[in-house]
Amino acid sequence: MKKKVLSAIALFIWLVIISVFSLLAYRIDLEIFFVLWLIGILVIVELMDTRFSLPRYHRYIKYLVAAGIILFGCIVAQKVLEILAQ
Amino acid sequence: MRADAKYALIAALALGVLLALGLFLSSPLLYTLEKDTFPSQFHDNTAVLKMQTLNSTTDVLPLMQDLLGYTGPVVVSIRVNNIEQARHDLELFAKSRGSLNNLIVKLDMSASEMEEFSKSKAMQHQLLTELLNSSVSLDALENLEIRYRDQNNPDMLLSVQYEGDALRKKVQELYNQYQVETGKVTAISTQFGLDATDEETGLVEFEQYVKEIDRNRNQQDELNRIIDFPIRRSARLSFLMSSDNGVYGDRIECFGYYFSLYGYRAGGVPGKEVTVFLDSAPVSSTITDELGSYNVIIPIERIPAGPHSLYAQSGTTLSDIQTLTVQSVGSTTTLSVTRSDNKGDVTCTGSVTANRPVRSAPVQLVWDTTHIVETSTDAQGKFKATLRLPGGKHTVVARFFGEGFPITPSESMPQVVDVSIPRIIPAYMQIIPADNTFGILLAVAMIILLFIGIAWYYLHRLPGRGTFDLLKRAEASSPGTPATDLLPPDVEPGADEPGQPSAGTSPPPDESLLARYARILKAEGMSVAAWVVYRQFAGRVANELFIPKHTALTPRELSHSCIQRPFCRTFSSFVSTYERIRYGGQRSVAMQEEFETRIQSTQSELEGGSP
Repeated sequence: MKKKVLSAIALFIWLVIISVFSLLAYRIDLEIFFVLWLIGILVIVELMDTRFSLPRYHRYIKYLVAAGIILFGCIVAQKVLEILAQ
Repeated sequence: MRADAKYALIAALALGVLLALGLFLSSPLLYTLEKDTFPSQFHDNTAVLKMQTLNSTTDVLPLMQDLLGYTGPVVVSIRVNNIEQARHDLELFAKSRGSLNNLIVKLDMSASEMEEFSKSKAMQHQLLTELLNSSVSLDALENLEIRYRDQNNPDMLLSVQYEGDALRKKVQELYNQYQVETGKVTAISTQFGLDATDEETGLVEFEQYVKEIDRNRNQQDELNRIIDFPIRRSARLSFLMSSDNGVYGDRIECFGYYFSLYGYRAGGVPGKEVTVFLDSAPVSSTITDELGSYNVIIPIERIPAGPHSLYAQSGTTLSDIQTLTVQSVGSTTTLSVTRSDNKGDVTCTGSVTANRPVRSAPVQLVWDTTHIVETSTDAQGKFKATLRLPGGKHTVVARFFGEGFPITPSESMPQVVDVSIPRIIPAYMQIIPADNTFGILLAVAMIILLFIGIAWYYLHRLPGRGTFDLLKRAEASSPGTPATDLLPPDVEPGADEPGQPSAGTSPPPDESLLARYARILKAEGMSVAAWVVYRQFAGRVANELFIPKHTALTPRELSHSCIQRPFCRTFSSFVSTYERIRYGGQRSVAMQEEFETRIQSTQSELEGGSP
């Protein structure tokens, strides 16, 4: 099976696991969901990385991950503001 | 299925899950409205509950009518001594009551007459449960009474009778309370036009039951009076009390004499173990002295108010039974609450006193009437407990219920405590000037910039970059000499290229590029030596120009990618010569000399252009 297909399936399973556990814990938190998604996609992108080539879809996923990192930075900044505002 | 269709299906499924989650983020629907039990507080979604149509006539009244039909049969079953049936009816009663409670919550009918009805029904259920337990105990006592009468044991008979009297008194009290609750239920039922005949029947049956157990008691008294208890004993045990009544904290001194009868003489028996029983439970034990006398002190502590039987026993010899009447006294509970500390902890201290300090008494600390913390008094009747309260004003009360003690319940004066928890900023965040808006904005901007930097690095990082740092270090160690081992650590030489250097040609440390070229040329030929030199230069150029995955490029592609740098022209010439050797198969001496010249010129250009 191609890496591209495997990575899509892995990401889907990861999202389903996160959703199921959120429901079991009676807690659906968008921030936690996002951070867990980011961790999952970071791991998957590193595992699917090729040695000598950079396919176009891989480059696009990296842009997506970079956007996720910036969004994560915004969440961190928001948390800092919440702590300071207590 | 085509690959595109597979991806589309997976993407659609993932999108569907995310959309479904997004729809319920604000108000997660984790249960159905048809479900009438809420397993956790998160299910108590009042916003949804309010959407349910309010229709008390069709929803509540039939359930109330059902509830009215349970109490009568339960009392009848208890009266005819059908305990199993009574238990079964009580269980059904409890389930039906739970349904009504849930409905009241769903329909938001708290603080209404429905709520009052539900409370009365709950009380009725509790009273009937106690009546059932008392009935079972009474039956057991009646059996014991028959047995002791058959055994001709007047002392135990009396003890059992005392316990029976206490139970009958309790049943009478239960009836009085039941009468009150039934009155409330009947009034509310009449108001709603419900048929409360079963309630009234239940009350009448209850009354009959109370009369029956009183009648049985009187019959047994008659029976006991006409029995002649022939007493033939060789040993006797006397039992006396310093007082036949007392209150909490009093110490009742019990004493007596163990003696044997020899004809008309009586002699004390020393060394006999004597146990004193209170309501058939041993409370103290001692040994008779040399004269056969004994002495025991019984403190009145956790003994309920009312009459209690006391007697002594030594082996099979029983004393006469005495009655100790414990009277109830009032109590005072005090409470003082300290100021809260930084975490919101407050220390509650206080005491419970009747006519003296009450020892080991359970005390409830109730804050804001809803949160309860249990503690107990020490030997001095004092208690101390720490409560962690959230910020704001709170009311704390200490309660002593007096259950099991001959003491009336009491409650302290409410104490109001104002909890202010100072803002605690973690040490690692104290570098941020929290009182300065500009400082906060600066900190936030720095955090976001930091993560933008991380994202930029993530996009532009070069997996082989460490290799070229090695090159620089090698140059530093031997100035003027190019680095030698330039293959990236994750690239095995020739893994993707035929004609690579063999494994036995590993370069010695500090070997210059030209020396390595010469060695490989001699050992493996022109083509392999040229490839090694190209890989070295290609890595260096890719590093200078930030070209990711340069090994995926052909030499010509790499040469075309090299622009706007002084070494690009020389590198292009080098690549041209390299292609003629590697792919054109030219191996002449002139070509070798030209290639070596290109190596030197490219190397000098690259070194000149390096930072």
